[in-house]
Amino acid sequence: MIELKNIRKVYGTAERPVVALDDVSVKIAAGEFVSIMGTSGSGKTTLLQVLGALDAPTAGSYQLNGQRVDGLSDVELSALRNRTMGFVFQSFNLLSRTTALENVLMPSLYADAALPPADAEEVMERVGILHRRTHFPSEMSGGEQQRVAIARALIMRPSLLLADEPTGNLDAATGEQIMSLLAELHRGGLTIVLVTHDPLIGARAGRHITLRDGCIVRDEAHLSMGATGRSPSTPALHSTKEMIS
Amino acid sequence: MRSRDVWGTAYRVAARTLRRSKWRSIAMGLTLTIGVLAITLTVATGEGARKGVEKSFRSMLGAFDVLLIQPGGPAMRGMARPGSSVATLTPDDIRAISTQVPNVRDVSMAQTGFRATLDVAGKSGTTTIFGVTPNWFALRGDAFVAGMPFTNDDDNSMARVAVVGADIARIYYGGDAVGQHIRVSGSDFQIVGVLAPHGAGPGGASLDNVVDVPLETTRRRVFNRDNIELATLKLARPADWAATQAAVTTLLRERHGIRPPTLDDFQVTSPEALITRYAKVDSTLRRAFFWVGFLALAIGGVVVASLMFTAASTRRSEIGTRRAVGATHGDILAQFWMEAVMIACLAGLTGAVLGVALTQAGARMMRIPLAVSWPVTIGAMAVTFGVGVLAGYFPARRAASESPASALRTSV
Repeated sequence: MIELKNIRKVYGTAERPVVALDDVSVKIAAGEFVSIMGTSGSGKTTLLQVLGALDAPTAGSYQLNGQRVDGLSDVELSALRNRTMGFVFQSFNLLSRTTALENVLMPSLYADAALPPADAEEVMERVGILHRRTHFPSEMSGGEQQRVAIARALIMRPSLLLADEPTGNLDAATGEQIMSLLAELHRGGLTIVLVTHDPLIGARAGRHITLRDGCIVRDEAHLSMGATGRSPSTPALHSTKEMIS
Repeated sequence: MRSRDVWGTAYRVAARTLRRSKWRSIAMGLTLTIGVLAITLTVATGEGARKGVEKSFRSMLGAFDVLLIQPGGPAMRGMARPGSSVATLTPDDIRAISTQVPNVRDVSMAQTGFRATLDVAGKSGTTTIFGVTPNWFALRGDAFVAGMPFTNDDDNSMARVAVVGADIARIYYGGDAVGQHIRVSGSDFQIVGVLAPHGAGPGGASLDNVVDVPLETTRRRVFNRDNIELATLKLARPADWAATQAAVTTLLRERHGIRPPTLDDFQVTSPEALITRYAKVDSTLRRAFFWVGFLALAIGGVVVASLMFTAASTRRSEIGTRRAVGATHGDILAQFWMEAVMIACLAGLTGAVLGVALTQAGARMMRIPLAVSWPVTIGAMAVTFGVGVLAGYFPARRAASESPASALRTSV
């Protein structure tokens, strides 16, 4: 599904370049659940943004579903994000003073044809947030807001879900619920790429890619990711969270 | 490539944003509203003054399909004045015009005596006495509330008869004046008619404090002079007034023996020309107000631009999110541009509606002569639209220029 070859991303000026990604090559198959881990500054968010066609790599090639992504125009990239990708952010990124339902429908504004509210309600039902559909983000808990954001990411029926620290602003128990929801979506056939610095969250994925200084230092399958889908580390999650905070 | 309606989407998104942040929208548009309001109101006072002047001239002159001839050269402006000693226009001049100049259907003549003393049964005052030809009333379209005008026989026989204005009938006779006697400037007259009220003239004084007597009577019995102060030429074809004016001028110069470069010793004017001259209420204050309006529009543009620039940076998270879910560079540009243009349009419309409403209310309740000038009001709205287009473009370009990744990065 995804094939990155020799991706390089450099920020800053020519005199003082900051290398965010250095010769990254990776293949992700359809239906995989991949976590990208690493400390802050390791380049994991940049990698996710390159994958999400939000940022163009300085060098290297990117193929998605057999189509070259590097070199596409802004309109083509926008259409690609609209149709084939869904984004979930750490701080939910919902529009304030806008109801949950309208937030979920927002991507369809930029599609060929607007979707009816019924489509949004169906997705909201699936992620368990339908009862909040007329509420504003400020009236919802973090976990509820993230569910709305996930519904928004799903409404255009993407094949790839990109999540950047989706539990970073949530308490451990709520984070666990969100991770369970993502796992469920993965079982439904969605390809998920998740960025996190939390090893316990990352452990929920079937494959771990670890970055350091813009390079992939480890890429391993998590064999214990069984059909049960239930992480054995759930009790430990709480204590780790508490340790971090 | 998608062929979807970028501007339609931008309109819907912008309309929603404006509705959700009403106070921000009001703050952005307020200066523009004030600008359009100021322009509408200033021009309304000017337009109103013009209409007011026109109305008072109409009631003073009666008809508009006429030419007016007055003694005195081009250096002397306006109507004959009290104590005017310019004695250049005679009834013979006017009779010559009426027989020799085409397009002149009828002529009336008037002698005037300002500050004439008035004595009625122990009460006294001052008035203006007019010696007029009997057709004066018909030419002006004067209406009578009692009695009737004097006749040509009265004029020829220098009869001591008078038509009085409504004020005189009311103040000195309690309304019923016909048949009564009146003493003006030491001469006695019998009242034969009372005029309908005219109201105030261009100078603000009442046009109803007048005594009209036959011209021959004033010439021989009251003023004992031949020259007249005003002749009114009724035109057969009012549209040809300019040609008639030229013909009258030529004839009078000839009769008065005036050759170039000597200037005319009379004036031939049309009521329209008089009104244009008097209606120039282009005071410094008014002009200042007008420019304050335009200044407000300019400042309003700066306000809109700066608040939109602020929005472009405070709403980066929103921009990044929209980009992530599929908004193109053009979508963001259109959305922010549309916001500014819509605010400008709404603000302009509000200013115009307020301006028109205040004009109407002012005209009705305070009896101030006000009239909306639609071309100016619509022009001010068009300028406001232009301000919105201009003030919105650059912030919108800034909002759209950022890559989705960097817009998202700073939002966390």
